[in-house]
Amino acid sequence: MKNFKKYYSKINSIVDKTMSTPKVDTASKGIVQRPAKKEAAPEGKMTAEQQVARYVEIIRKQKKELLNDKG
Amino acid sequence: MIKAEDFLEAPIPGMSLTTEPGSVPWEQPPQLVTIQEVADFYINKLTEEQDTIDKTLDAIELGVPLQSLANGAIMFNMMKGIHTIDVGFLVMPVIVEMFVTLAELNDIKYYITPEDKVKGKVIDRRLIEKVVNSSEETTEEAIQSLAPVGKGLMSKGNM
Repeated sequence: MKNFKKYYSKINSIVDKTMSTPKVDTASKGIVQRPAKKEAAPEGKMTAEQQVARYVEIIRKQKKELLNDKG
Repeated sequence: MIKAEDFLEAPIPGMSLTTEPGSVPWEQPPQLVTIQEVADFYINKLTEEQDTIDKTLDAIELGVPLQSLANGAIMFNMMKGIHTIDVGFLVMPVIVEMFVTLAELNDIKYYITPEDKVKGKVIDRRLIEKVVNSSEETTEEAIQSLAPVGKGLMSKGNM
């Protein structure tokens, strides 16, 4: 229980990091194509923190959408 | 201090071992094992069951910190044998985030941890000193303005 704050802030920092990262334009540009980006690790290979952070991120995104619809 | 009666009513050491192993839900294998399963379980509960949502919102409105609420939910479901305590604690941020979403959508003020609640209630010491000093000054000014301009004991007031 005492460590919840620490754990929650760690999850928050992971979520903020992923949410603030701008999407990279991976569209092909003529003949010269960008190298394929590394895809996110499949869920089985993700750590517990990453899995939880992913859930929190999805919830926050949906909350934003709902608040936008409301306002 | 422990009263004599309370002490006598307490369980005898080793009493928990007298029941048959596996007779309580938390001694059975959990129903949900992975983080994904447990998170989905809580998300479904907090989005589909209106009764749960209403009760949660009532508790948030009363000022119960979200961490305590999530802790209660985890303990309750752990005792029912739905998941283990460790997976429950790992999923705690998801539950808290769901509570935050519910509170924000319904315009309810919330506290995440009990310390946040205490912080909100405790007033800064410097602010208290400032307010007390300013009130003392205004009181003194008010007293001075009310005090009659005396010319000794025998002086008469203005006619």
